[in-house]
Amino acid sequence: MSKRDQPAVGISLSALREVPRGDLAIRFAFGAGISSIAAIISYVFGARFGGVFLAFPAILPATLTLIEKEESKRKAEDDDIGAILGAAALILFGGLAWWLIPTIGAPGAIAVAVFGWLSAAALFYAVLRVVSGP
Amino acid sequence: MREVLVVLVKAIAGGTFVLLFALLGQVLQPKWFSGLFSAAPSVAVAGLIITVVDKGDHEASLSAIGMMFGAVGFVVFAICVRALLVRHSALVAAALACVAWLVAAIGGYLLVLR
Repeated sequence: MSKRDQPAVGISLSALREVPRGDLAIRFAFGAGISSIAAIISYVFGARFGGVFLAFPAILPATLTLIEKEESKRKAEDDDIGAILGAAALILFGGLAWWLIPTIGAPGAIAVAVFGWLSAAALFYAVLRVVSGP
Repeated sequence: MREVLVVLVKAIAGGTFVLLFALLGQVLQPKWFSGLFSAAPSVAVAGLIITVVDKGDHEASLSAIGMMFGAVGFVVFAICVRALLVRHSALVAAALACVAWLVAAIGGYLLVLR
């Protein structure tokens, strides 16, 4: 992918008006569904195994399908590249949460883990932009 | 009865966090960057918070261990989707890649922790 056709990172609040309510309902349903499955598995098989399902790709299938339908397959591929980087950072989130919850307590640990995820994902993104060339 | 209530609360919290992260991904440009939020720890944050309230820090910490294997599976999933999108629709690519997630996440968990 050429970086020439990629605009700089920014926020477009007007994009919110373009999101159909049905799409939001689908995403909510995906999130609620996988959260329920993870909770039930935790009760049946224990918290450690149930935790595996906390990193199930809950948003991505719906997002890619909607992007392909409403924009293009190329845009869906671009979104998926970001998802690869975000997922790699998700490993760090889990590691930080596991390490820090017993030491500094859950509220601080989860906040640090979210910050760590965002920082790592942004760093991976920046590196890939540099590596992919101008 | 308490377990059913906790599952319901986790479902609502998970759906809400997924929605919030999805909206954040929607307003961010370009798509390449907003795609990061397709792998946001939305279900994880909701699940860990409710687990802490329900069962305490130790259980949440155990969940986080399992989550790392799920995250490895997520990376494999997203790479497979990228490859499958060449020949298939996004829906079919994501469905096929779910099998890769199951194998990588659960297989990795069983291999390392069992």
